Amino acid sequence: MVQKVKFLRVFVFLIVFIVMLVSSFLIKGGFEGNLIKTIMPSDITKNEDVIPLYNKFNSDVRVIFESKNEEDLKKVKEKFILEANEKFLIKDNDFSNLIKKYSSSPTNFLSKKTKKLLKDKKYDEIYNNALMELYNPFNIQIVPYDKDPYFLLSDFLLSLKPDYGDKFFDDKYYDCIVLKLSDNSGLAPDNSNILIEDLIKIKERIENDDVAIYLSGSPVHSYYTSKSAKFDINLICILSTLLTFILTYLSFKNLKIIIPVFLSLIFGITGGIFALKIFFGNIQLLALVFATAIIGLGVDYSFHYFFSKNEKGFIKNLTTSLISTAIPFIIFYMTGIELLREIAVFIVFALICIYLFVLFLFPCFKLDDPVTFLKPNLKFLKIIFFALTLLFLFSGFKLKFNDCLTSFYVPNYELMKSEKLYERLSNGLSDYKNIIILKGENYEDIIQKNEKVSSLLDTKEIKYLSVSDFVKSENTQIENYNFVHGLYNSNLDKIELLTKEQKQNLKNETFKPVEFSAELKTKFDDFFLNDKTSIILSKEPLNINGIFEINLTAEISKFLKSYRVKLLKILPLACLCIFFVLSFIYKIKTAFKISLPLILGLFPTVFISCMIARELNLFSIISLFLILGFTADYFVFKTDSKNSSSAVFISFCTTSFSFLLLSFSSFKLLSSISLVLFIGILFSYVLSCLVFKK
Amino acid sequence: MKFLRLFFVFLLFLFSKAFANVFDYPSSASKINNELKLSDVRLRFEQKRTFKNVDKPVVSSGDFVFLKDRGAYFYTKFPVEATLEYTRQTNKQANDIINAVMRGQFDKIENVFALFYYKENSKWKLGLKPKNNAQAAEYLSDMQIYGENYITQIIINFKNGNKTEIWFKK
Repeated sequence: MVQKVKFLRVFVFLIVFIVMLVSSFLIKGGFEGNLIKTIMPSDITKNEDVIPLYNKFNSDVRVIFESKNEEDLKKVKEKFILEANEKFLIKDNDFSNLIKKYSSSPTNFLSKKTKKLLKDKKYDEIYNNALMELYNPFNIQIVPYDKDPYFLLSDFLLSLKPDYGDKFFDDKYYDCIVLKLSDNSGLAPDNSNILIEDLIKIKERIENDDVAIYLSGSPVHSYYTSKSAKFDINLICILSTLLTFILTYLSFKNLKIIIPVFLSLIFGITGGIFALKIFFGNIQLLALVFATAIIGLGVDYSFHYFFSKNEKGFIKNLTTSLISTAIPFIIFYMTGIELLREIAVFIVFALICIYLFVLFLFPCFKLDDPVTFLKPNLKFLKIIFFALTLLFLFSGFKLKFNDCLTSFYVPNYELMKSEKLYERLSNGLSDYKNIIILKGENYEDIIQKNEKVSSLLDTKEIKYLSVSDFVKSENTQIENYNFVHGLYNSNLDKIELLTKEQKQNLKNETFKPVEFSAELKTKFDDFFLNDKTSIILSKEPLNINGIFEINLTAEISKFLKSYRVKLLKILPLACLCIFFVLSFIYKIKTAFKISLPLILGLFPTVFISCMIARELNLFSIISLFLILGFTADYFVFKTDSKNSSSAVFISFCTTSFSFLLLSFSSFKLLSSISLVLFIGILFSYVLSCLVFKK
Repeated sequence: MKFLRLFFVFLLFLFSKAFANVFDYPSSASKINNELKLSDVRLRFEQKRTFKNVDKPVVSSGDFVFLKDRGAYFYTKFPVEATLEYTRQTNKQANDIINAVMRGQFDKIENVFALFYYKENSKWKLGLKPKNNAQAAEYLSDMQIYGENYITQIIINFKNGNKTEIWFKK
């Protein structure tokens, strides 16, 4: 009979597992690696331009060449282009054809300064400027003198030049090429990582002692970040698993019990993913990263089972533990923040699955009882408590938050150097953070709108980069032509070098529009999101109604701040909920005894973490909720379980050890979360031991 | 008669040296750096510019000043008064060339220009030809600079047929 019940249980769980697994694959939706969609609220990301915009600014790779010898640099650059050409689209920066187009109708293009002089009919000033150029021995004339006696085209071309930085500084030559990765590489870093790996191989093959090559741009940062994070996580997983094995072996003198623990986790994770698919369809990859916390939480249930299964009230304790752990995550769900909702759904459902697995299937395994009960040294814990209290007092109770997106990540020395080099070579391109989006029916319409907004920016003296600096609409070309012919009619007779016939030819010249659609699609595609949408980059916002502008970095930072504030506000609610639930299960006094140290432990955690990390962010606050979830069972089991001490000790050791190691990770986001979690878990554990000494 | 012929050949040999085309003498930055030493100078200049499709040349004159620490200045006095500066901030590319010549830093332009150098007694000739892949090659054909203790003449030939000649005198 007992065997039959066991078989039935296994059968039911197997069926449920298969159903969940198959459904997870069958339900429509996949893994969403789009970080912007994860962080930005849906009303922003619904704007059809925001995602392509984010992708545009995060899918370019800049390759910077550095050498003391320009010839060596050029050779290496050519070799690099030859190799990279096979896999990457190299952005065209050859403007010689464009100059030929300008030269075909030189009167159609004017610098802003000259245009203003012509508008104000200051013909003598233009004439004097032309004289200066005439006597300039090194003056380079783009078109023959008889076609442009006032050197207006040279003046226009020179007016475009300040946008490019110096290519020789600190006694070294520099050059830069821009590679375009696939269309979605800015949104799905995993796709671009393979390409970046290829690029790094080319770089390593080609660079030599005389020429250094630096890579910069978002995909490169993503590659190195994920590589170092992967290494850190793998190493820490191995070390944590080893510690779990050692502690398990010390307690049971065999490692067989690892098998049911492992199966419970697999069942839990499958249940979590199934729930995510049912609730959301698409699963955010970042949510899954946080959801790995389930491993630490799930293992705790198994150890509680092994050490306290025969005690009266074990099921009550495990259920209470489940409820108190789930509460902070249920509160997460109520925030309305997509990322947090997904973490909440995953963890709560995975926990329920593990809880059911432990309660119903663990009895089906022939498991040995522990032979050794590991216990911490109380004196040692008191010293830790004293040290943590001292740190808390030394923290000065100061809190500093930094919600800026860039604060989550500190690049390594070489990447930092390459970004600084690019900054210098591009003449401070990263200062142009404000993006103005303009829509038009066709290229002519778009360029006209660019010209209008550019003139507004000029009026406000805001620096900007616009396609209309390089390409003029037909209307503007006509306007320029008329201005120049006004000059010819009033001033051309002063030009002594030209014959009467040449002067007459200039005056009789008819308007010939220059068409740029081919260049707009190739050379200037940086200024376009699609055929009907263009962008202007400006240093400051224009702030004019009807013009959509966005600063992506500031916008994301703004949302991160609003999420952090929201979470800080609901943290007390989570604590209150835990207290109320516990007061239903236990007496009020016991509920206080459990929840008060659990909640009070968060204060020193926050201040100590801020003192060590210098500043906190949204993810530090998420970590506080995780601490509540992680450590609630320490207090619950210590309340009325005799043998829980060992289970809690093993849980604490494995969990805190992982986070302690992760807090040294080179990836700042990972290290800042782990630091808070380590301090919080350590403090909660010490408090649980001191409060429940028996 | 035979003597006269020999004398003629000797004269031709002498002239061939004197009128040697500098572009027949490729050189290197290190060699020119060692041999060509010029210092701060103030000279009179006369300039003639000829433009394609324009019959009359543009003639001007004035003072030329080169200060190692600051750059080169053309103070045009005839037919108009104008100042042209070639410093780090203004006309940088031209300044690089002037600097290289005046300060003996040819290694800084060697990557852009093929260098040619010929010296006989105290007279020297310097030739600069933009390398094929250099941006300057699109506009500039070549540049010839002649001198003794100081620069005596500069000839700049542009790709579009324009030409600038400058003569310097103390």
